Amino acid sequence: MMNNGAGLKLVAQKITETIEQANKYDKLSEFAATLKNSLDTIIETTLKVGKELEKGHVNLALANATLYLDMFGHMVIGWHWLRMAIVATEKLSDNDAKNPDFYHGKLVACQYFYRYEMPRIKPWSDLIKSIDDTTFKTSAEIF
Amino acid sequence: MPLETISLEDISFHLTEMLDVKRLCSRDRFSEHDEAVFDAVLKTAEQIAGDLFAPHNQKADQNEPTFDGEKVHIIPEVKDALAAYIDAGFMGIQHDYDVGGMQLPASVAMSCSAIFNSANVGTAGYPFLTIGASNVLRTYGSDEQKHRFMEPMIEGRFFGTMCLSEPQAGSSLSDIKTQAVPQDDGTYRITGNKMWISAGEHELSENIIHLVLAKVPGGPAGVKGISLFIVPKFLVNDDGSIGERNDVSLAGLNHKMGYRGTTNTLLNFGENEGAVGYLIGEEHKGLFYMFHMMNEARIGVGLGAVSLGYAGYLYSLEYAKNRPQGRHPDGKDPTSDQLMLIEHADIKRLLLAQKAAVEGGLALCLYAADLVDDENTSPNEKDRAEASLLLDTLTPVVKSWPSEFCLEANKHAIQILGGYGYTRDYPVEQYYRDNRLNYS
Ligand SMILES: Cc1cc2nc3c(=O)[nH]c(=O)nc-3n(C[C@H](O)[C@H](O)[C@H](O)COP(=O)(O)OP(=O)(O)OC[C@H]3O[C@@H](n4cnc5c(N)ncnc54)[C@H](O)[C@@H]3O)c2cc1C
Repeated sequence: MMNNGAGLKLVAQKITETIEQANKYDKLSEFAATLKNSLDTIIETTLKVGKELEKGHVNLALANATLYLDMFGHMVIGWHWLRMAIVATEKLSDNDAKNPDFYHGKLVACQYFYRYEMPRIKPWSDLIKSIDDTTFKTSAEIF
Repeated sequence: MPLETISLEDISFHLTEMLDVKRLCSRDRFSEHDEAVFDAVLKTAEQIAGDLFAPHNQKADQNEPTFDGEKVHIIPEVKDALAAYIDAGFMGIQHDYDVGGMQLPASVAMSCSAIFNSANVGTAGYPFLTIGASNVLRTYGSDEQKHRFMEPMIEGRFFGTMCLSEPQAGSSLSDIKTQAVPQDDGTYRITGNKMWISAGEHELSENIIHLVLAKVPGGPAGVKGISLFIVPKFLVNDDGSIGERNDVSLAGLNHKMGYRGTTNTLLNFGENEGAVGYLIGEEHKGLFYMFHMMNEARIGVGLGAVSLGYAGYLYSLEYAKNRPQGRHPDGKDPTSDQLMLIEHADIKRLLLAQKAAVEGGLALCLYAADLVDDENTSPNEKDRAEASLLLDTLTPVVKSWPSEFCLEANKHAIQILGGYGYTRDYPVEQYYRDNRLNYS
């Protein structure tokens, strides 16, 4: 995925469309801003890892690939929560929801994900960007 | 029985309000369908899952399949449930009409699979593998192979498997050793051992069609030298009748912490004269064929994790609503009524964490399924290419995120049940064990 520049660009474009839609609703702007931040963070992280790969430090650059996938995954899920929150907001403002609690539930769960889970992206990114060599350099003998 | 392991309201929300799947009905492939058809299919899935899958979920876990040296024994409820599944046409849910399929979109098919998975992931494992194998044949098999092997899978008479892993080669498929030697008649003789093969042996179907990765001697080293073969348990005669036993045998069953209802096997190919295998497509392209199909299978794995997370979430939610325990931190009066668990902020945190994980995971998986539909049927080339690129980029997340974070959700479900959560009298510990295997 880290090598897949075109794929990441397309995901970024789709996420940006969602952010723009969400910004139409005051209640969602907090989440839209967080998602924008996370997207920027992940692009920056990806570029940093990409540079390391270009330098030929492939094994070191990919030492934390699992963490990258978790971080990227959190952003993607955050994106889908915002997509759901937009639909729920529209539904509730139209006043035609058969079961309003269902949509309120979507908004609360979205808020939960953004306040409790999205902040994990930053420390993941800090570690990955630092191209940390703790695990890479650890010798099998020390265990 | 009403199905309590997943929310049909939530599934409909995704299909209707998030994805607008009825837009697909304007495409040729789905033009005979409308929303009512999609709804009816989901209702049928819910009913079969509730009546025949969920009731033996625990029994299948506690009575795992056994091998007496000749045959594998599985509790009879599994075959009964699968018979209803097959009768309703689910084995051919995405296949073309002219081979007996229902030609439904991937998003609807995946929604059904979430329903069955949440009810009983062990029993749902057999069709999961069979559908995966029949999809490979649909895309890469010859007409003759489709007729002989794929159509009986759609009818539910034959089941399928995916034989990639070997005892010494799991993650690193470039190191597989199974060999395929070409014969004068165009077939191959397969020899080798395949490990961890789900649904590799059972008596649930007339035949088992193994799709086997093997190396043709003299081919390139590594993954570029891997080819894909059809290796049936029983040979199939020209008239479609079941022929001789092929040289494939069960070395033993693996006993797992979860997914116990699905047999997991070590298979020996070619201990005697060599197992007869039929090449799919061209030599040395086997891994490409397998992985193309695996993209859809990986959505299935992610969805399996979501479904088990969902089942735990809904169970612990009901429990929290009905279990009186404790008072608020500021509630000093011991004679006052106890609160229901759901009134405690920390229990609400555990519920929200589950809700955010499983509903978020479901959104992603069904979005990915919808991309599969766009990749295959979008009217314009640019949209197809875009869907395909998005899907390639997101698929690793579709598999990995639910496997990690919906497992975490199952952990929270156990926590909400307190001491009861760890016991086999309640279903949440099984959901956790089952879900841990989605990580493989
Ligand atoms: C329930 C279940 C069903 C299965 N069904 C099937 C099936 O139907 N068909 C089939 O072919 N296979 C099946 N498998 C096999 C599964 O795909 C393998 O278990 C998997 O490929 C891992 O292989 P392994 O067990 O040999 O572990 P290994 O490859 O030995 O890996 C051990 C650990 O090391 C890690 N690891 C390995 N290589 C690297 C590396 N280069 N860098 C970092 N970490 C690494 C792995 O991620 C893993 O955590 C199934 C497995 C399970 C548990």
